[in-house]
Amino acid sequence: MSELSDDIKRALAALPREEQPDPALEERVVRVVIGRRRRWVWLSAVAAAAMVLVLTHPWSRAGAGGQTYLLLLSPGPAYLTPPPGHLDERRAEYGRWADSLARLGKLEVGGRLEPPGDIVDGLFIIRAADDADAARIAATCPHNKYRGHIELRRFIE
Amino acid sequence: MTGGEGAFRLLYRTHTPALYALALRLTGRDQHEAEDLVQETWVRATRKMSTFRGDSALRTWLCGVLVNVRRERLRSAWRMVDAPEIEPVSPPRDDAAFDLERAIAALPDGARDIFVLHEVYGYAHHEIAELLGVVEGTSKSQLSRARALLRQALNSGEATR
Repeated sequence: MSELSDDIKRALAALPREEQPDPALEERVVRVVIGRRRRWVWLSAVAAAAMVLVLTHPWSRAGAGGQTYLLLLSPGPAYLTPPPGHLDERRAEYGRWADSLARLGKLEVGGRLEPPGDIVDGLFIIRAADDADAARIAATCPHNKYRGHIELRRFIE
Repeated sequence: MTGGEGAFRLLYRTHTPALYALALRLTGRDQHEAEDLVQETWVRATRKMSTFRGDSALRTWLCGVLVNVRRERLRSAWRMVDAPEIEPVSPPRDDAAFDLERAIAALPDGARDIFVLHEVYGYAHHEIAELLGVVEGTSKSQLSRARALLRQALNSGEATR
């Protein structure tokens, strides 16, 4: 393998290993990191509220047929954010998916979560025959296409 | 400020200068892209902190997260479309260091990543292979290519001065 000259090696060794970014970056990062955590705390509260709603709703009674599942949509590490100016289009696509589930009688509650951001976060409560059926429904969500993360949980009824 | 926020700021201030220096070199000294990489690295790292096993220094682990974020971005068509035209900016003041940084920035993406990780940050080929998802042979051949290109660039720079 070709080697570098001693001069180049010395110059490489002398390169700074640390550089200071724009001080404004710290505020941006803190806002995103801490804000995201707060949002998940809030999201958990929403999920808990949804669970209460489900468990007290008439269709949650035993023997009603099928099971109730919670789909939590989060960005995940590989989420493809919409290009600038295409956020509404992305949201509409999720909306059409939810509408199609509602028409099939499989959607109980669902929607996008506030506060609004550049990334779609959503919570859906669906009815499915069993775990496999719920997984099939989750697989049709556009969130998969954009490499988002979907957590699928079955309610204990 | 909450206790969690204070702790995070301390962590940020301790490790960000090193992350930013790495990001600048990997992006050919594109400040905008480098800041974006650092931001995403912190977002990702705070989510994945539970997977940090402590068998490497936290800074090394964070650098690995940054390298992975960059690798994913290079694969994302959208990211490539959105990427701004890159011009070397804010070079170090020292002429020799400037030439070297400029020569590194001019290396092709893949070769530059491997060169920077190996020659500047001391990663071994097997570590680079794991970080970048390539075989060790690729790391070695790309390093050899990068070295040759760098020597060529520095020699032509000397010849034109």
